[in-house]
Amino acid sequence: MRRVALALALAGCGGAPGIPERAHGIQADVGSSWVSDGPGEASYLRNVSVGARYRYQWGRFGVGGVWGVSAWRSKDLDDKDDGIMAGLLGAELSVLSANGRVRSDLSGGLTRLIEGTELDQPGPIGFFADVRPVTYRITLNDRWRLALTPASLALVVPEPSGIPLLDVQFRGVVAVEWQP
Amino acid sequence: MRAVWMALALLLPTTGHAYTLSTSISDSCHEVLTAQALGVLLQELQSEPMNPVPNDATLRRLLARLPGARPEQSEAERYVQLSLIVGVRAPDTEGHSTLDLNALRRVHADPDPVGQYAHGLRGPNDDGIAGDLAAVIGTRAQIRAEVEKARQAFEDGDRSFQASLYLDHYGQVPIPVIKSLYHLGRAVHALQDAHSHTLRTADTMHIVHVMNYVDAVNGHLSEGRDGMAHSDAMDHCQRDDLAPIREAVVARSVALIAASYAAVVLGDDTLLEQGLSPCADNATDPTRCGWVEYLPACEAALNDAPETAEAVCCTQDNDYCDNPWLPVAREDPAGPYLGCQGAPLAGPAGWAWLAGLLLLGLRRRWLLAALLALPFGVQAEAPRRAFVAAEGHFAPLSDRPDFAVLDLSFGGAVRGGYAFGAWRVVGVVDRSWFVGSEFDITVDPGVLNLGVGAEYLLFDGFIRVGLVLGTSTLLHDTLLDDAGATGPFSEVRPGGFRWQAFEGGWITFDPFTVAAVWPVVHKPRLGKLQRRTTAGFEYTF
Repeated sequence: MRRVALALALAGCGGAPGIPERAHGIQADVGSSWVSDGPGEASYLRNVSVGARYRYQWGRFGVGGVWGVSAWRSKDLDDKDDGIMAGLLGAELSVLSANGRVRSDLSGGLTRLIEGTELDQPGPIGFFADVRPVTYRITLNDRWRLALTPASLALVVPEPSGIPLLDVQFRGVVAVEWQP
Repeated sequence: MRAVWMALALLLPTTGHAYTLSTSISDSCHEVLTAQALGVLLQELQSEPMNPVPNDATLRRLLARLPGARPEQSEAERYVQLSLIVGVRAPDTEGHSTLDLNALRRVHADPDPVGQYAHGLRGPNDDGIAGDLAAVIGTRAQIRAEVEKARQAFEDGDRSFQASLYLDHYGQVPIPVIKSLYHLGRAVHALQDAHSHTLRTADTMHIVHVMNYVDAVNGHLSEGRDGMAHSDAMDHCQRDDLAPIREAVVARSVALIAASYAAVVLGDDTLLEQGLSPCADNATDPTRCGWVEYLPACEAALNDAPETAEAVCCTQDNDYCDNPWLPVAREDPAGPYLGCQGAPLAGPAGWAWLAGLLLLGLRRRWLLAALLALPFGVQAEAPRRAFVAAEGHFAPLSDRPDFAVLDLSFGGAVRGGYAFGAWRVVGVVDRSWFVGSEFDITVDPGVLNLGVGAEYLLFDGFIRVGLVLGTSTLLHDTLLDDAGATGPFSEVRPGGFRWQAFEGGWITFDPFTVAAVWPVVHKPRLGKLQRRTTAGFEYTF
């Protein structure tokens, strides 16, 4: 709720981005599953993702490319904590609404396992999907915007063979957009 | 702790038939076959005073409601039963959910051959005919090892051992169990799997071939080298055509339990050694010997004249010596869950699984795509004050560590309130049903949530954010708690859409809301952090 209040406050400070006829830009973002459990047993920041996107906009609709890295905590064969990291490369479809102040986007593509547990060697190719249905866009100035996605869902499957290595990530994402 | 072992005799059989665990997608073979074996022992053992049950509140609540227990069974008897069943389940789950994919990977795709021998399966390097023999020897060693651990636990006073049992909606619950019986359960599991994961002679006395799971599920199996793929069909103990194997499993499970009692409690290994050795020529009771034995002629050839083994042993080329169970063993072979073999994606039924997962979790995408077609214009209408809304929600996935990936709940709510400009005060009556999936698929009554909160409308009512706080009340008895238990409820709506359908009427769609539903806050906690997708209709007046 604090994030939403902050978004509301910032929205009051910035003007509406508007929807240009054509535009392109890049975005850098960082996301995490802020909390993955209930009171008393919460698991915080179980995963972290960083990424960059290039987006070309035709009016409300946009397409683009996605690059990123996603890392999360897991367990090894002895049930001890271990980590998994996957690189992501894909494409994105997006649509603006509320006069450019809200973006909804869907991305997907391939993953490459960078670091796994004892069961997985780096290298396998998998896939991911990422849904960000409501991203608040806050104009900072003519070129820069802050984009806040309070709730998104990413499904990352870096090793689809055998019993798949799969991670469900309910993330909050903070991004910075730049448009020339 | 001798009394504990005596108590095995007091457990009566239930109907049921392996090898599979009681889950939402398989029958309770291991649990029921084991209970059936214990029931047969009723006539061979005498009861003695029971040892006390540990003073653990969770354990006592579970024992009071233990599924399958007879009403007249004492708490101590149920403790014995629970300890054995937890041990029988353990090799397949190690205390995790059967829907916890990451845990399943660690348990079943472990390349260490010892992990495969615990299930009567080949290790990844157990190739060819020699691999059959290696797996048989390894499985026998596993049974011995578990009985030895049971003996050690018994000699150490058989203190309770903290095992993990996964329960729907609670997750992993630490439960004290009798350590010796836990290890006996693991030994029984290996023995039972050595019947469903192998091809045996028609009289079930000898193993002619051992199946392979790890290579099959990784998509690397070559039958001539790695053996037949594990067959789900062979795991279905209730099949009529597998009745002789089922009967042999029950008889040998009885024999193993009796032999383990003699070894652990009386210090007499005679029965155990007899069971894990070839039957003598004059053996009168074949269930008391040769439980896990390879075809003698083939074993002799492998040891003495390996060049003759191909001609003597059972292989793919001779249909495993025209094995009578081969048609069943060819059904439902194990394979990659998604049909992937580390290569471009292929598409067996496993893809349906992930497609279902994606659709469940990402159906928001399709809804989103459909909704993108709706007008996105900024909306404004004459000020209205009061509102009521009805909505439904669906929450299929969990990202909770060590929890089932699929954790389905669904329900609906009635909301109402009053607006002060863009701010709204709201009251909520919310009902959420929980779908259980660990032992069977059940739709549980779930919880009733009551709350009050606030909402704020952004962008002329196009986006709604909100927060509700209140209480969550459990509506059904669980294994550990009673209906009526009440805890906190909160729901955060970080951004939902509103489209005007007609004057005063709005279609609402929240792709993600986060509802923390915790009717039971004492340990072990019961509750969920639901990521809901919610759709509804609102009327303002």
